[in-house]
Amino acid sequence: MALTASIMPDVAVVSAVLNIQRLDYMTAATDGRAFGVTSGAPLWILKATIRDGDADETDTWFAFLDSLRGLQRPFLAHDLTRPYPRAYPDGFAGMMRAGGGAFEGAATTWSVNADRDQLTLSGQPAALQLNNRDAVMLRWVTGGEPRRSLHRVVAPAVASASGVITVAVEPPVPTLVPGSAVADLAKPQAVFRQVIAESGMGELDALHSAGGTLSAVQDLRA
Amino acid sequence: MKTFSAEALAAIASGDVMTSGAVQLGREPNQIRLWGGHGVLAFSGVAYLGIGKRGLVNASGGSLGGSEQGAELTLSNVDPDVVGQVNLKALRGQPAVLWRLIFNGTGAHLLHAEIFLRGRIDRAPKEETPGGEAIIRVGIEGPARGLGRRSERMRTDADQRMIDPTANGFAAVAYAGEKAINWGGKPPQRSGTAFGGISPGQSAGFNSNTLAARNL
Repeated sequence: MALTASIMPDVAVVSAVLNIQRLDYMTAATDGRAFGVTSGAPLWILKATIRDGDADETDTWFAFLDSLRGLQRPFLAHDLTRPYPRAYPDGFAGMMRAGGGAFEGAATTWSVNADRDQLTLSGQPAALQLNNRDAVMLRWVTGGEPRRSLHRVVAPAVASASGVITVAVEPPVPTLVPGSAVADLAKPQAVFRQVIAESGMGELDALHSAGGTLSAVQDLRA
Repeated sequence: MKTFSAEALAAIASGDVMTSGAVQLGREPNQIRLWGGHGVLAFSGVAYLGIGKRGLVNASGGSLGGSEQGAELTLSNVDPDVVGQVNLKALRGQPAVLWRLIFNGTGAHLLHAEIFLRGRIDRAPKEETPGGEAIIRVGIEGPARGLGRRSERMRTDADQRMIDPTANGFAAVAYAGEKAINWGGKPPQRSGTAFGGISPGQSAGFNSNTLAARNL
């Protein structure tokens, strides 16, 4: 087991969701204008329910959760229902960049607007479609550790003939993302740490299998 | 008096706003600078390390004429490299500067940064929950309490009786703040009498009963 972040198993997951967690303070009264502020930056939270599958699947999950050593090790996870954009459910095999060359999901360059909520990706295939809930990750490496910043598309967009696409994303791109990061559409991940109190496997039955739950919070760092 | 910048006021009014806090603990060269977001933030010429703690500063507004209220910092999720710098014993009495930061809704623009409280670190208890958070709470005492006081004397009954055990001049001080005084006289003794729940005859009966009980 490598010391660096492991990847969440994709077997026996019966349901899972990635949500943006924000901490909002709203005025207590509901009789007037709704008013409040957001406190701090948003983070991704992951909740997954693990099926009482077969013994192999259960063993995989036990090994994964054990290997996390509680909070010590982060792990990478992507939305299992949307590893690739909705229009390309099987991946980008055979697709070519508008400027030539095979396309595997990574943009040649990316930029972000001043409000940091619109990503412009270059080097995409012409007329590439991105739909709601498709995701973009910005990935880089710090000190040998993988770093990820995950962003989900909130308005559909289509790439131009020259392979440039601008999409509105949430959450906004944190200022800590280095300019050298790579924008990638393939299996967009975030780095998580499990919430120990809410994660774990259940009791094993006669078939040597068990269900379980995984709850995790994004570990966002530069 | 809050003097927010025009951009910050506009952001607050529209709801497109995000708040955070920053804190500077200690003196040079052993200063710790932290802020509630992610990554490094530089303002006023110095860099602050993000600890990803959204409710960094637990401060209250306070009221005119009320007692001075300090602030409490909750430092959790602090990077191990920062925890290495935090010697809890050495923190006591160190100066602390709390900043209030106002960003636009996406966190891209820092619209306003102001010093919210200057004070000293009073206490820094550490709380650890197995399987949960490890938190360092840092209590910050503002200048109005303790720091600027001439002596240790306080306006309390206990303090007065240390001078003179028989002096009860402050006996009612703690109670005075919550004493209800009714306009124009005594409050009604029984809500039943006040709102006509009991007839005068019943009332007389009760009274004669209690009188009889008292005479037993």
